[in-house]
Amino acid sequence: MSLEDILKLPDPYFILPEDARRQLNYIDRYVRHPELGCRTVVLEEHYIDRDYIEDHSVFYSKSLTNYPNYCTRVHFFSLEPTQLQSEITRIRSLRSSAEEHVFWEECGRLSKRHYIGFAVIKPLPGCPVGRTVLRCLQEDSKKGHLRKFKCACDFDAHLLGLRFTVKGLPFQQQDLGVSACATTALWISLQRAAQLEHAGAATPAHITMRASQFALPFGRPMPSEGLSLDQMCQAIQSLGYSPNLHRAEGSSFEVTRALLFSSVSSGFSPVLVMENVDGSVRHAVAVAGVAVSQHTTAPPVTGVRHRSADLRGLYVHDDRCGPYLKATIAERKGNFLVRYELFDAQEEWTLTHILTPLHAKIRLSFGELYRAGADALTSDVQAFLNASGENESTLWRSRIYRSHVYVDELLQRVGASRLVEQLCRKVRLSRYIGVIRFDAPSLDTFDVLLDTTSTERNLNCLAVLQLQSTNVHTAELCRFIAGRYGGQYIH
Amino acid sequence: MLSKRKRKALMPIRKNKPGAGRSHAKRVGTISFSDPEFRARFEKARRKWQRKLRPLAEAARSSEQLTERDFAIRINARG
Repeated sequence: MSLEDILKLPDPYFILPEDARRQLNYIDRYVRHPELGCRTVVLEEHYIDRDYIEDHSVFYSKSLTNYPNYCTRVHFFSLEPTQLQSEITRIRSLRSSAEEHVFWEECGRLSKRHYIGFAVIKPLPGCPVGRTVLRCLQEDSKKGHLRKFKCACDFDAHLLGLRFTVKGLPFQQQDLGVSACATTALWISLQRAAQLEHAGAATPAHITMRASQFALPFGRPMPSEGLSLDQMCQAIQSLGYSPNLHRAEGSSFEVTRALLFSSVSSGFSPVLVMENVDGSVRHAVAVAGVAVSQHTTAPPVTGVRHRSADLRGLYVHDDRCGPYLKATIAERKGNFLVRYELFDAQEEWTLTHILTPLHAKIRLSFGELYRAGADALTSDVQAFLNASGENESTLWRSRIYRSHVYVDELLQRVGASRLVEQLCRKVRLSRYIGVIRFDAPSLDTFDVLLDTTSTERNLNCLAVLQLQSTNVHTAELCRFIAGRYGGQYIH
Repeated sequence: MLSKRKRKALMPIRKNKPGAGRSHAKRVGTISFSDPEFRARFEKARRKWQRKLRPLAEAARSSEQLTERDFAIRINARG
């Protein structure tokens, strides 16, 4: 039985039902993927969705048609209905019979094993799919690439007395009333940004209103006529974030790829602004993750390789289709092409801009971080190798992390406890830190930490961390870099 | 305590494949920044790598130099 049949949605009048339910049918197919294996759907009727109720308040409540202000929420499970019922009953009874933590642990265990996520179904026949959070596919694709969903984060849903948690990135369909593709892509990106700061996320209505606060270059804001990049930046700024914008059009493919990769692997979901082949339509999608080669096989660029050379594709949320859509990337005449299959046809877009909402304290952009890495630090490392008589390539990557996330990542390395102790005692870290990591066969892996509250002209190096302390030549290089750029040498 | 012979048998075999790892690397003198010879070699190599990598850094800079045209583009794909 399909999701469409279960929900018994009324047909829209002036558009084809298959067009209106494209996203719904995509979700139906996605949750049935062998890796997810949906067996049971639970309907939560009369669900008040924050995003929809805002849309209703500013737009749908003023229509002649009486649109309800509530939705239906659909939960997906990979258990058979009877098994799910007995599991829910068992865990619920633990709340009174066992310690509190046992109950929450059991909720977490059931979520991890069998909860696929939820989709809010709005009472709008022409665009039913509201806020949807679905579990990402496994890291190992078994097709020679790894799926990395760094922009996914935990979302809770409460059902029948239990708390279910799903790790994903929210998605929703454009309604062309309050939001078109630009608003929706921005909404997705800001959902992730809000999670990084544990802040309240903006709704589509908020975004469209903030975007059209000072300029209306294309007429009325609602029904949505689309947004300009200027309006998107305005919305980001007025919601308390800083827009970080890069032009991909006319730039180098390698650089665009590196900036995109850095942004996604740092956990920020960038909005990709793309143009179709004849340049008549511009579209915006949000990136949820990346596909990277299982083995680093890409040829070196000038003997120095950025980790982004292993980028094989992107997982995007396209509001015209669905979440986690696999897109491949390619280069043509320096242009960055994004291709994916949509409605049984191959679509090709040229990436023109990358827009990333960042915390206001991140003053160092991904471009500036890349420049610091390429221009100064990588030259130092590669020159050191050459002067030492080593004909090796340097592999490097650039990311921006919340400092505690970086420390946590360090602690996951065997024997890093002492290193973390040294770092925490000796260095004052900014809220977000720029991390440039270097790998070379004859050197230990080491990180250069940069203060993201500083600017390119007054760039402040916080520390140089030698992650293993076995190699004396790495120690010599780290000491040199720390001395040259003014950071602490931690080993 | 293992005998010297047994210990030797348990020691990892040193790989000496041509073309693998550091085998065709040439160690040149002392590797220390306090050694003026090494420092000179390093600075020379550094200038070479900066020249090679500067175009990438410049491309990253130019991608952030935006004009009014960039901000005016309209994004409104429907579906």
